[in-house]
Amino acid sequence: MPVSEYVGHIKDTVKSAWEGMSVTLSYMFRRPITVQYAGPELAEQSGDLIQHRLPSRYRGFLEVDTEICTACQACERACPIACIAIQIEKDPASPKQRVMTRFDIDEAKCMYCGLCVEPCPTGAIQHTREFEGAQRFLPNMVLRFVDPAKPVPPYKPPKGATAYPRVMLGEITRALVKKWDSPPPELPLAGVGKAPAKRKPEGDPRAAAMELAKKAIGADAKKLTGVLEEAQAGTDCGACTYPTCREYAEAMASGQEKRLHMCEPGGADSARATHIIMDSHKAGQVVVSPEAEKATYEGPS
Amino acid sequence: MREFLDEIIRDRLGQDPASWALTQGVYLVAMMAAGIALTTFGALFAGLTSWWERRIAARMQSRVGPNRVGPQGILQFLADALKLLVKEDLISSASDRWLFRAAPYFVVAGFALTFVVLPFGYHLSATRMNVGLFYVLSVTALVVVGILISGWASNSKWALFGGIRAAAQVVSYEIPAGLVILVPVLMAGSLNLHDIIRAQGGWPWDWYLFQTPMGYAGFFILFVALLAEGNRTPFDLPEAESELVSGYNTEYSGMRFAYFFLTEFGNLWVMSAVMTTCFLGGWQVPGVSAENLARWEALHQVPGWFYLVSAAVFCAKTLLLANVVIWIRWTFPRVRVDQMMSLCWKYLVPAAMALVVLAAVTELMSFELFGEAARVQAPLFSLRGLIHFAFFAAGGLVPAVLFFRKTFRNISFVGDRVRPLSNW
Amino acid sequence: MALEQIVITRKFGPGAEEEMILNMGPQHPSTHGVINFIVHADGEVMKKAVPEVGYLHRSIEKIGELVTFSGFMPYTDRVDYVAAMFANEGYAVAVEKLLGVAPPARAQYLRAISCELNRIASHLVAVGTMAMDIGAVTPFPYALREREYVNDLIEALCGARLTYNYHRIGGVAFDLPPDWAPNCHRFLDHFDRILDEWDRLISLNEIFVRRLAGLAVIPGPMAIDYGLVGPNLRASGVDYDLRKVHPYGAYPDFEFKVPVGKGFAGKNRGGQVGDCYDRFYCRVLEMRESVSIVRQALHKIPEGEWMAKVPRKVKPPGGEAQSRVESARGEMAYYVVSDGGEKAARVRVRTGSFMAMGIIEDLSPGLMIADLVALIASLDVVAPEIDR
Repeated sequence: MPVSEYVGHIKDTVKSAWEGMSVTLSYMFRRPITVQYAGPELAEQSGDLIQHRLPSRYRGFLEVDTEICTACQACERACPIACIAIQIEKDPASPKQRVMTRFDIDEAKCMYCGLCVEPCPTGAIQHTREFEGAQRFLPNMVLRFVDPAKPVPPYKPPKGATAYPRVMLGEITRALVKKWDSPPPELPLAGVGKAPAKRKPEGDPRAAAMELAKKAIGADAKKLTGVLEEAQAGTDCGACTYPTCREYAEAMASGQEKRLHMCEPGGADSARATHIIMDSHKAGQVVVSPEAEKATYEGPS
Repeated sequence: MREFLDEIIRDRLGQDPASWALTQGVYLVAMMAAGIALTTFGALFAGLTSWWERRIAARMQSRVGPNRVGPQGILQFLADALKLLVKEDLISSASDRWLFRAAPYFVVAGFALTFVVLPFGYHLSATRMNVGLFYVLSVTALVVVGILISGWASNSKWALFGGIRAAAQVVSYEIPAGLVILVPVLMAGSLNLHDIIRAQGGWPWDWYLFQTPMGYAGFFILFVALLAEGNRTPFDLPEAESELVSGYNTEYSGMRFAYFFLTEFGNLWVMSAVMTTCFLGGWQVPGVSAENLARWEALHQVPGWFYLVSAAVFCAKTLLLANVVIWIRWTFPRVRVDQMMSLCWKYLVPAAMALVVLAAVTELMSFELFGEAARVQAPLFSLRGLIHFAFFAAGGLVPAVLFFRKTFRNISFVGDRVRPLSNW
Repeated sequence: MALEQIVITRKFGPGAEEEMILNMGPQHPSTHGVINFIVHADGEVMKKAVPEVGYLHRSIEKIGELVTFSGFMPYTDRVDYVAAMFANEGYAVAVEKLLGVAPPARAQYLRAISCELNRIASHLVAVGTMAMDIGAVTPFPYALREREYVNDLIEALCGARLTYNYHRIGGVAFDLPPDWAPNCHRFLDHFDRILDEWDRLISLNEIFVRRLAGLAVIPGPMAIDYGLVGPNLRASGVDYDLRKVHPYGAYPDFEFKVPVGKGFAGKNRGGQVGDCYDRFYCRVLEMRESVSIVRQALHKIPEGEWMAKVPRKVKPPGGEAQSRVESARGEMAYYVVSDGGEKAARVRVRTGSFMAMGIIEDLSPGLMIADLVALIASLDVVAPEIDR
């Protein structure tokens, strides 16, 4: 090894020590970037909640404002891991009225992807900026937005509304998140852990469609509208681009709307029933065409 | 210490230490007291350093560090020790149980024995052994034995790697350390740590570091060699976390692990104290010249404050060096095994050898030139004093100023503000 | 003979079980996730290191057949959680091809911005962990600190810091938030200077350079033979960047250089084209290019929609489509087959880390154990991306 190289090695080492050590020393005279986490109790006292520093798009715990939930179940269908469970039943008090008896979100299972927020017609389901919810017992992570004892009727959005009254984001979830060591709910928990109950129309969907088709024969526009509305899922979800099922039915009955397969919650059953009703209405007798047999849900586009 | 005890027996108890029956008993009690005091100091220092190092490291990494237990987290080490105490004592079934248990004691013994000779201030040390420096070098080698035993007894391949690496490394680096330590020994003409300190002066230009180029180079060589002996980054190969999981102490947990941990941090004091003694003027207080001290001693009138101030000066220098070691640890990457070896045998050993020869020649020449006066520190306003001061300015002051200028430029370059004590 | 002895004999030949067989991983601190290496060592020097993959297999490709097309998007985040944006984009592009939908221009720009920011974040992790594996701990928090700033930006953009789920089939989920662009510019200016500081602290550190110079050299032809992609391939001197060679999205609109390995360590330190230091430094240089791309994109971004008209229930016609994007770990390809249903018939992901793992076995003979750690770090393998 030539001497110049030998000395060069020593020089390079000294130089890199000089440079590197001045960089590390310089951080002794700068402010650290660590933000001291005070914990929820202390933060509440000082009013400096860490939640307030998070950006508004932060995807924290999900929250549902059941006051403006149309019970369309679009979120339940959008969820890739089925952490949302909604149950809709007929109101025992008034048979025409349907009510939500269950709206559970398993925050422990949720992967905070935000796919459920996007299809919501009224913005009832939202990500909050809440994230502190460590629980000793995992079932406590299931937030039950509907008290089974007090079923919630679906929200009927006003015509042409673009904004909906919503409770301050985060308040509902904050109230629902339990203390970390609160006792677990009594097991077995009603409905939790089971697959979300599928809403089954009473009886055979095909028979129901035939019944409706009989009603539609010779009906006037108003009656046809009623029959068609019954064939839809009736959740007013807006997936068909109409704000309510009634309006979609009116459009179909008046002949303005030619696309009969746009009811997303109803799926193939609704599409088939609508097809049969319209065919029967036109033909004056119950017709089940091969197209109707094959009808499935098709989106608005 | 023996003279001190004899003095007490003679003056306070009115007995003749040579003939009194209980003399040996007094010696024993005093030795035990000193031993307990010194190991307690070592353990406390190691604990506090572990907290301090974490704080410093955190600040260097723009974090905050442990600050919850006690004021500014200073009691963190107690919490850690408590946690390690109550941990399950795991000994893997395939290990050599007795050696596994013995290893930490070797390590701790090798560390604690150095305190027998380490000075803490004027006349403040357990003994004033005349082969003090030699003793330090030999007992620190005991640590390697412990590490080697732990690596072998764990019966884990990672631990074995760590143990073997440690043995290779420490044995290699003993050589440059042993050689270069001869430079201050030659200059002072003694192996006694106190004598080496007394041959230096209080002001920086009276230190061996700034007196000759050999001292200057020797300081850095000894520093690197002691870093390697203490297994500190960039030579932390025996416990290289990213390569060997945790090296020789991989299989240790609980209090046995704490012993290794304690030794590692305690060694920081040992190596810094040796460096301070050999090159940084030890406990010499600036302004108190050798003649002053000699006069006080002749009259048996060494003032009490001098003991305290000299201890404070010694501790301040040692802690400063310990901080530099910490600082280096959090700056440098680790060298590879072959690079570690080539650094030792190709760079440090030849350089140390040359330094010893040069130092010997220079000493001889200065005796020729200045006679017996060469043994004594020259006043600032004399030829020798001015040469020393010039060397101090060139080797110490100017680099320090340039370095700090660069450091503050680093801060303004990135667009940060200088905040010396914010958010601790 | 015990089963492990049979395995060892099969891997290393007869008699190997009598020698030092090291089991490195899956809980080793520097295997970057759960990867296992079986190392046949002779003292510190390795005779061979055989990677064992599959500890982090979560059957993501199979999940793609079980959830709907749009429902698979969050799962793509988990393919490579250090650079999730690219996995998002690759899948979105593949399904867009199936659907025959083109995302609007603004969406293309938003994709480029988010991806390049993510590339910076991912490379910061790569170079930071590499410095840490070499033993320098301090550069790692510095890198992660800068990554936190990137994460803050991405969080303001899409609401998540790690699993972004930002890209959608037909565009992106959100437009830029107000005040985002100035914040981003402020970060980019700051980051440029931090990179200079980074170079002085670690890239030019003598110990660091010497540890990596001339280590585990992958010549260009060998890199191509083994199917290396991305920075690993470019560090071997092969000028192949999908953003230049087959420009997609908004990339034709940007001017940027493709850093190629040149033996950055320098001849006097034994640096060669394709050594570990080249792989490290190419990533540092790529971060600088990403900064310039984000700047250009923020200046040029057109107004308009950020989502194409795509039905809520994505049901592409039967067929197959393939997409390729230049991820932080190199070319990432998605192959999606649709049978006309709501769910894909087959999803296949091709990732760079898997290919990089393959080359380790042939590079390892003669390296030291400390070098193996450096080699793994320099290839920037991420365990979930290997196994998916």
